[in-house]
Amino acid sequence: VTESESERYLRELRQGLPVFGRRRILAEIRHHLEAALADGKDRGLSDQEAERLVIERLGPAAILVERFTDDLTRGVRGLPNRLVATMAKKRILAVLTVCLGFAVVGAAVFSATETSPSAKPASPLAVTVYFKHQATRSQEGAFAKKLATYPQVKKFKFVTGATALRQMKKVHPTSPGLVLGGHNPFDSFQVTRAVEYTQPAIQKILHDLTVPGVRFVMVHPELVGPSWDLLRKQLARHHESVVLGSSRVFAPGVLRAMDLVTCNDHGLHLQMPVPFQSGQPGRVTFTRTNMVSVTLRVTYEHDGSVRASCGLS
Amino acid sequence: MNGDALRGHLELLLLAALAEGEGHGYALIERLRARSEGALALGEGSVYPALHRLEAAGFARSSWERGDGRRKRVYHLTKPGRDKLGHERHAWGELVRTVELVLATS
Repeated sequence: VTESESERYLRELRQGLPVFGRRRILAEIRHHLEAALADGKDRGLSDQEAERLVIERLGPAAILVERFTDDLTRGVRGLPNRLVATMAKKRILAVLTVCLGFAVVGAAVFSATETSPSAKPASPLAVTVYFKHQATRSQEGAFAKKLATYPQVKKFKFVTGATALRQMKKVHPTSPGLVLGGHNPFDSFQVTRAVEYTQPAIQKILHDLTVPGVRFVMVHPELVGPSWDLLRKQLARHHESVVLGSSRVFAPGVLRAMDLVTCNDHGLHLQMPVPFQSGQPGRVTFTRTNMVSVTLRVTYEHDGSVRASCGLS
Repeated sequence: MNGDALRGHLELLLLAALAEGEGHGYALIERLRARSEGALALGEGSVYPALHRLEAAGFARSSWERGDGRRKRVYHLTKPGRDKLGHERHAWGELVRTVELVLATS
């Protein structure tokens, strides 16, 4: 008997959802599928087309599982979920610890070219794929679909930026509210590779798996944004200033990513970290009560120099 | 308008849909689609977790009902939910007015 798309979707949900609350969620989604299929057929769609559309609108099962788990891990539904939350926190901690280690020793590059299976035993290290802050749900869904087709990928789990933020706040309650790239850490997939593939092999396929809006960064410095206080202990942060109404160019090596550039506007210090990505200026703007704006722009140039300007607009 | 543009507003929209009357998840999605004249294309996978959050927060309650031979989880707006909707509507109005002021002067 061939499994229908709806049955497959429900099976994936059943496998991914925590036991507690699973029955209710499955019943609701089953009802949703039935109602939407009936509607689709009323509109003249074929069974297959109606089924395809409703599943597409629901999004990948892995993402739906994560959204439900997201709530369950906050412990709003009792002890079983608090256990899930504890496990989730430990997992995030482990990933961050590993990634911070990589960042500090400067190993955050995709240098490996190996793509073939290896006989080496797999280490328990997890690979995490982070999305751009502005990545859309549909881009993330497209990525999940592609990811599922790779034999190198054993399994993957979607973690929302909001979940990451909550977990980071628990781990680092004294962290500043502002983290890199905005108020929210980044949506991510935690990927577990198949045992016969090495870590570089899995990195390589993720690196090659280009989907718009997705940042394939296993150890991107933005990853440690939420735990900035932790990173700050490891890396001394350099600070330079630029006078209002002027520009400065800092030679390569003077400033590096996350060093600070400031601009003093009558006692108000605008500050902008040097961006991680070269060629893409970061900027911060303050609008005075007279509606005149002061903008500080900082660009990490491709040659390693840093260009900063502070002016009125 | 896709679901990504609605981040942060989904709960408000669902509260507004529930204010029209009780409904199960799919009916609420259809209600929002109809109210927006088809402009709201919600990420339907986001709706159910959001409904669960509203219930956990006490803004909605739900119960099983049987209709058309199927069991449905039907959501109802609670008194705190109605109060929350009123508060959020006011906050949204303030935000819209503020943004319009800025856009009008730029």
